[in-house]
Amino acid sequence: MSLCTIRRAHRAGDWAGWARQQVAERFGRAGYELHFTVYGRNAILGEREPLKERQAHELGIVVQGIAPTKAVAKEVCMIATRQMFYARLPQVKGTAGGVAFVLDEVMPASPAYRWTLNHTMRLDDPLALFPTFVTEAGV
Amino acid sequence: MPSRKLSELAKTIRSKNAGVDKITFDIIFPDRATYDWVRESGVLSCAAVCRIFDIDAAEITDHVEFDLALAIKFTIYRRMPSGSPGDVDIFGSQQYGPLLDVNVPEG
Repeated sequence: MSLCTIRRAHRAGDWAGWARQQVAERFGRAGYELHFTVYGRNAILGEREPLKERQAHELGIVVQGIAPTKAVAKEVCMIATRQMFYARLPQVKGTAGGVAFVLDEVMPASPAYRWTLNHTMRLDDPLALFPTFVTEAGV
Repeated sequence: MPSRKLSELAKTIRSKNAGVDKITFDIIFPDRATYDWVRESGVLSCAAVCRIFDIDAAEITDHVEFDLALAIKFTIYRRMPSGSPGDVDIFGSQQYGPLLDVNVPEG
């Protein structure tokens, strides 16, 4: 994952769209996942946010790359983040970097699993799988 | 009609994962009178919870008014299992925001 910050917050979606397109041109659209979490714009609650109308002028964007290998995850994340920096968008006046970096690198997260199975069972008798018995010992 | 915000009336408003695919909410009140007032107002009924969180009734798995604890508790399904790619609140600990400004009409 990596992090950048951006001003003119209401247009942040354009940067993410640009970056996603740039990654797709290099890697195609399959074999990895990219997630852009825009902190300062309904990041926690999403559609359930009751204060959607309040707009920040500055946002933090966390970019996450997920792939079967660490190398690919790192590469797509790096390109996505850098391409937000390089984005050529009509409303961007600056040409030397459209976002600000705290650091120009990708921070690795630990290997992870995806939750796919609910390890619970429906039983008529909740004790069916836990047989108990009483015995006498040491008498 | 004059009203008070839930955040002014409740002692605790919180959310937390309940297993991997649900989030549970607790709203705990300081005294019986406040608990009864909010409970009877219906602002935290199942129908109200559906409106507040923009969900269907089928997405609420439990809804309990627990007199002994002066608490109203409900549990809803997560939008995705905890820790899935794209999940931004892996412990479900900040999902109670929409409850804070719920208006409770004065009796």
